Amino acid sequence: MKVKTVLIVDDSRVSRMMVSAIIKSQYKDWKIEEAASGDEAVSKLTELHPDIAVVDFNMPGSLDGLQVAEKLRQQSATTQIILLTANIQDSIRDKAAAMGISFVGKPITEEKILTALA
Amino acid sequence: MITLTELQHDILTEIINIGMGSAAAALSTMVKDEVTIGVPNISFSSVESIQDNLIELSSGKLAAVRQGFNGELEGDAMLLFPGDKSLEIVRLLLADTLPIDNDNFSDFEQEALSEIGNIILNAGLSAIANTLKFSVSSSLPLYKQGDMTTLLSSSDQTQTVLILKVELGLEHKQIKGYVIYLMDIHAIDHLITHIDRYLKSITA
Repeated sequence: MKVKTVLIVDDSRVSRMMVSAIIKSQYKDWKIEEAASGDEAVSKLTELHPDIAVVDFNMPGSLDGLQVAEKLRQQSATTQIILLTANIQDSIRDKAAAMGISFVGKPITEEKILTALA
Repeated sequence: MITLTELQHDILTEIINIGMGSAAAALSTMVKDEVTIGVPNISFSSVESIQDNLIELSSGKLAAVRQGFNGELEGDAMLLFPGDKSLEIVRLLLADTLPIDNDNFSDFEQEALSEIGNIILNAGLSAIANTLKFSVSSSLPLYKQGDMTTLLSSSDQTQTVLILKVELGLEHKQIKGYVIYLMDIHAIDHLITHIDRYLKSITA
């Protein structure tokens, strides 16, 4: 299987650690990169071309998760984007669906993350 | 004096129940224990006398996560746990997922509880918003420790607030937490409008 690069964007260090640990448990060779805000994620995009991005919705800074997803889409149409959020309102779910990105509601579980990656 | 009709009160209780069902499911997934939900308590109070309505929480140190919400409904949501139990909750959350030594759980206490609060408060709020068909934005969660007076110190003491209080209990851990929503008069009017609209939609 191809080694993939995953960008985890979440202001919660605990959430980043949990997602990273789950991915590593299944895909040991994959490269994991982290960003604690949407702005940090976007600043990393010039050097980083993630195959997969797991993005929180509600984060500090000027960009929310859907805006980060838009930037990711502009860079690459093939990046798999997963919106991982505690905000499970239908309005957010609908916006994610309209952008063609996966929606995963927190809390984080191994099953949810691995299913979204499959 | 603000009053709700019996029907408005009944619908609000039911909607809070739906919200807390979602919040309890999220908490249960995180701590891997059954979570019981108390009967929602709805009351109006001034901030300065709020402790009379939250007598269970009036003594001792609490660990709190506070999150503001705005948009079609504005207010504050708080998740409260007894301060001496907060580390145990963090341990329950992280134990199976992350290789952290028992001694190091305290390093993650604030961040982990903020995230737990974020998930639970959003689960409750999202379910309410979905039921009443509106959308709200939430601020980032703020973690704070202290007694109730300290935790509410930033609020306008004279304003009337709607207090929606629900007890969440971890069945096998003897831990009780509380979710509280605080809304001012302006927000209460909005909420009643949403409830009336919902009432019309289900009785049409």
